[in-house]
Amino acid sequence: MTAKIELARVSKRFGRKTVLDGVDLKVEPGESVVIIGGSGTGKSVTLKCILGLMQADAGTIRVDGQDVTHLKGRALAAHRAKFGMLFQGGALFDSLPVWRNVVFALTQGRWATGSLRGLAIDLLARVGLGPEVADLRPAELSGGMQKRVALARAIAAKPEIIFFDEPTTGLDPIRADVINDLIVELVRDLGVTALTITHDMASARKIADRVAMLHAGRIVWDGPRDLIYDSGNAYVDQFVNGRAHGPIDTGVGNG
Amino acid sequence: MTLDRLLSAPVAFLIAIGSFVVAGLAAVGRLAKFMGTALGRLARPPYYPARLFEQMLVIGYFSLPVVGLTALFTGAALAQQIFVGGSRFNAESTVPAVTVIAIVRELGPVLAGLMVAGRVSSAMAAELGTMRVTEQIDALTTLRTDPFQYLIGPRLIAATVTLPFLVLVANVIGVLGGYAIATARLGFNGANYLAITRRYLEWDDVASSLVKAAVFGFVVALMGCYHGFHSSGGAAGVGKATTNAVVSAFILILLSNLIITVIVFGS
Ligand SMILES: Nc1ncnc2c1ncn2[C@@H]1O[C@H](COP(=O)(O)OP(=O)(O)OP(=O)(O)O)[C@@H](O)[C@H]1O
Ligand SMILES: [Mg+2]
Repeated sequence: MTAKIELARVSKRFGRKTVLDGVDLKVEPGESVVIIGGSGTGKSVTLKCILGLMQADAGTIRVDGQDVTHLKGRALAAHRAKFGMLFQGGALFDSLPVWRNVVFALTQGRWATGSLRGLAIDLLARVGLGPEVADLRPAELSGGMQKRVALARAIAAKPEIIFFDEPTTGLDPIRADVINDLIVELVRDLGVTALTITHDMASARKIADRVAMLHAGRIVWDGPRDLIYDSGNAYVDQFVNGRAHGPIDTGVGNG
Repeated sequence: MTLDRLLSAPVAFLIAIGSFVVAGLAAVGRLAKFMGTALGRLARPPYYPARLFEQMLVIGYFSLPVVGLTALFTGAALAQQIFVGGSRFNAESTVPAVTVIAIVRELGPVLAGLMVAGRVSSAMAAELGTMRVTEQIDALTTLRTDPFQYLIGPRLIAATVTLPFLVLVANVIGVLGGYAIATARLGFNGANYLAITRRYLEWDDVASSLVKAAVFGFVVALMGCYHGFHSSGGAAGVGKATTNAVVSAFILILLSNLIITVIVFGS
């Protein structure tokens, strides 16, 4: 079976700073993979390279077996149609009311009718938001509410692949679990392929089939969810247990 | 050691000049590419009439007060100065003719252009810049909506077609400003003033005024969009983009005004 997403030796530099230095990662169809890793290690950059929002400097990215590393124009647009993306900061359009944000993948900025408003309200309900937020502007919502609106927007067009960049950050534990359940449901019931970035280990344990750890520009460990507390990898150990001291340099006087 | 440094100083100077020139050329190239992309995608569907209408309202309607007031005060001050200057060689009667020509050919379009640049280039740069640094432009792209077609096209078209209307208004109000002060303070007969104004105003003047306005409108939107679209580095970066948008729009308006004036009236 061809992998849904396959990264081979993907590298990305910004000026003199190498962020990704040969990332290898495979995601099978219908699988839910969680990427963990320290702040600034390039997790978000990895997702943006796959979406073609940034160009990888080296390596190849395949989606459904097709090389998408250097796509342009219409081919790139067709490639993006497979994806839904929850941006780390939400990235809601602040000039549009919430419901127009939610159905933007369907309207693509054109004028929308009332039936789409109903769809938007259904989608908002799935992320635990009531219909009263539909006509508010994104700036009138709390950070956690914005995140959930962005999540509703990412799933609106029923994409095959969804990227979640820190879906539960900024949510209380109960709301976070609603989102975890939603992601599990999307993967299990609708066969969506999910790639999630998170620092929330409870969430990772719940939604992941497999966990990959990014460190120093590479995937240093990749294994089934049940092994993350028993990985035998010093980096993963330090990370999942949240210890300041270990092989990962935290810049605060390592022992 | 000292000799070394003496020799290396001019080299370092040349390198500095060189990299300055290269950076300048690169910036011009980037701007040209941006403009080419924007124009190339203007004609292609999808179109966003609602966005276009919204921008025309923001640029045209909401600029009316500031443009009108600027034209009124400038027209009045101009008539007063022409009167004072003209009286030195008994040419006070030239006030209506010189006022209308100066307003329609130069001051109407230039002042309206500069005022709109201050209002609109900055607003566009700030809005697009914020959208860039908060990843809204990436989100738009991911949702398969072309930011050139959705954000930039409507702004370019709206500014280019709206500014000529604003300039027409500015011209009329500027002439009325001169009329007001001439009849109220300088002893002109009202009907006479307007008759002279009409006699000296030529179609070429109006046409050049409108061509300038369209060019300035395009420049205003292009600078706002370009600097906003390419901004980076958070709130400080958006602030810098806004400043650059206004300053570059001002300079390009004055430069293109000079070029059009020389081409139309220079021969
Ligand atoms: N557009 C850009 N220009 C320059 N550098 C960038 C850009 N985007 C990201 N970087 C750099 O790449 C590195 C990785 O960024 P990225 O956003 O992928 O981190 P991350 O792993 O998602 O971290 P976090 O968990 O904090 O979100 C950072 O050091 C950042 O400075
Ligand atoms: Mg990130």
